[in-house]
Amino acid sequence: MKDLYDDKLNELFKTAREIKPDLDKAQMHFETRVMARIKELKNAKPWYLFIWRSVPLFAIIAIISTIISFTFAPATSADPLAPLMHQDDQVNANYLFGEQQ
Amino acid sequence: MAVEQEHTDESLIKAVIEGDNEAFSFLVIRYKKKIFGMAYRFTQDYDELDDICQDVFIKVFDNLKKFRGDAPFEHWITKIAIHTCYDALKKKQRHTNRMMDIEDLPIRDTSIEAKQSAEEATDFLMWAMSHLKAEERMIITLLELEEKSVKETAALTGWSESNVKVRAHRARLALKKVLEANNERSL
Repeated sequence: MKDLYDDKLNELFKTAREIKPDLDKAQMHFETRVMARIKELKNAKPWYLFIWRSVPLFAIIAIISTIISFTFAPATSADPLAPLMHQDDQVNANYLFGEQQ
Repeated sequence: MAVEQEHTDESLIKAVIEGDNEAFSFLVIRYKKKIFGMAYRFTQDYDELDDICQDVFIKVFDNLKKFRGDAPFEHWITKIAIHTCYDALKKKQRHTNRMMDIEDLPIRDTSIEAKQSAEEATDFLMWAMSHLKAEERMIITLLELEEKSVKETAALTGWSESNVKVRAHRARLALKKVLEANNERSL
């Protein structure tokens, strides 16, 4: 059902539609501003690009670390958890002090 | 004839995709008036207006390759503008305490005084609309201020036509409630 506020709303909408704001000044040189911002955005290097670019470096470091660890400190046991699994204190001690290979 | 008018939208888009950024400035010149007019209906704020319009054109530039040409470019850019304005509305849900009485709206056709009154009426409407949710404000702006049809609004927002009608009805009720509350307080 239409009421007083419906009429008032319609009147307000009609008035608002009739008002033509002067936007010429706001639009002046707008294309220059947009193109400048696009250029700025294109030149800016996004932060995630640095992460992707650093991936090979981290991969090389990881490979070198693995090679060094295997070359200079070979594993003393095929099963490093064996002493713990057997719960043998002596075996543990020997393992920790390097007396048992 | 100006350079930007010599080319069709399609040829300019193709040139931009091929790396001619200058062609994009012709698209900006062609559509800036429309986008400014539409964004102003949403924001009513000159300070925000430039930022919103820049965001619209940057989104257009970034997504130009996705434009398939199924619908006219104007429709596509309007859709982007509406979504950008909607995001801006969501970000900034303005609440002012300004009180005005809806009954005091002496709107006449001519004279400076009438123009001032009309501007006051528009200010009042915008104040009332600032109390609505972003989606309610968007639907009122499209249907009542931009005078889009339900079908056009549905196409621009991505909502179904029945959904647009329901949302429009709810938005209008919410707006009436704001007017009622304002009127009661001013009595």
